[in-house]
Amino acid sequence: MDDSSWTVGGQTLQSRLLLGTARYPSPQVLAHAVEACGTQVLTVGLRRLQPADGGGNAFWERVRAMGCRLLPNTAGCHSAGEAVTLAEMAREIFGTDWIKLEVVGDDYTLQPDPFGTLDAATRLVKAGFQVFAYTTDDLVVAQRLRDAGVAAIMPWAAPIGTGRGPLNPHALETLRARLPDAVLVVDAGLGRPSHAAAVMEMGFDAVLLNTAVAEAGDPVRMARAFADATRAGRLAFEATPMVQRQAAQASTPTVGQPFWHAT
Amino acid sequence: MSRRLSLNGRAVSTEAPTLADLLRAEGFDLSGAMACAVNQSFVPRSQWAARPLADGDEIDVISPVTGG
Repeated sequence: MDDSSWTVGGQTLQSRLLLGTARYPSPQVLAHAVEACGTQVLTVGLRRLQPADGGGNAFWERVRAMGCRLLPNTAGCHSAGEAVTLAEMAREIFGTDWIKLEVVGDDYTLQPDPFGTLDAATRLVKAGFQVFAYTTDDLVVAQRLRDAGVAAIMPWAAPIGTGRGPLNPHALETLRARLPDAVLVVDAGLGRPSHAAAVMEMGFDAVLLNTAVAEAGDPVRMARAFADATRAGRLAFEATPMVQRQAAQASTPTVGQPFWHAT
Repeated sequence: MSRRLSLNGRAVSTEAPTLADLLRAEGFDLSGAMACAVNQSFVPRSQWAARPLADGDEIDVISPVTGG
């Protein structure tokens, strides 16, 4: 009955919450948060290694033990060329064709560069990657990414790490309406479980978040809250919410109302 | 012959003829979870031992970290 499974990048998943691994108070808190929310996909990053860091194995072994699929990102890349190279490096390290494509266009807002993103997405799809493309809520860019063959289009709700929630709900609703067959995941800017529920009610396939959980006072409880909200939003979408009205309409029948009088 | 390279943004002078030799000389554990690029082009692990180095090469060695 409650089959909320969905398919992305060739994999069928039950959880519709993708979780980042950064900014937690400790690796133990991250592990407990992962368990609490039941996510099946964790995002990870790549950075320069120093020999004293022990071959890069410590984090890799911790995150692998969590038993989730890994979605490496190209965070920090400022050109398509950088992103493609980093994706190739990620594929070798993690042994996955999945890549969360991020090409930054503006350092202050971390707004993705639509031109670099589309260029890199096109090249990566041709190279056999399953591309999860981080983008803005621009419809035409999303359509071009769909045409390029990405596995998922991931519009922001608000700039990364702001926690402000959907700043332009109309644009997100338009994306869902105009791209009914694309996998759409809201990535970035969600701060509270109600934000996740709101976009899931619009029909988004999943949400991806990090800071909202990692920087909560209690990340483990917040992870569970986001999982519940994501499930609730999806159920509500599948149940088709009522149509909004301008005027009040009594829910209790007026026929038989005692003390009825005309004024 | 000594070559002047950039390794993760740090200037390095080395006698190492190949990428694998350089990594070993600089103390990297070659069995670790890491990947390499030379001059912003990916070099698969299988080619590290055969990849010659030249003056001015820019080498990046990366590994997994937390990320969103």
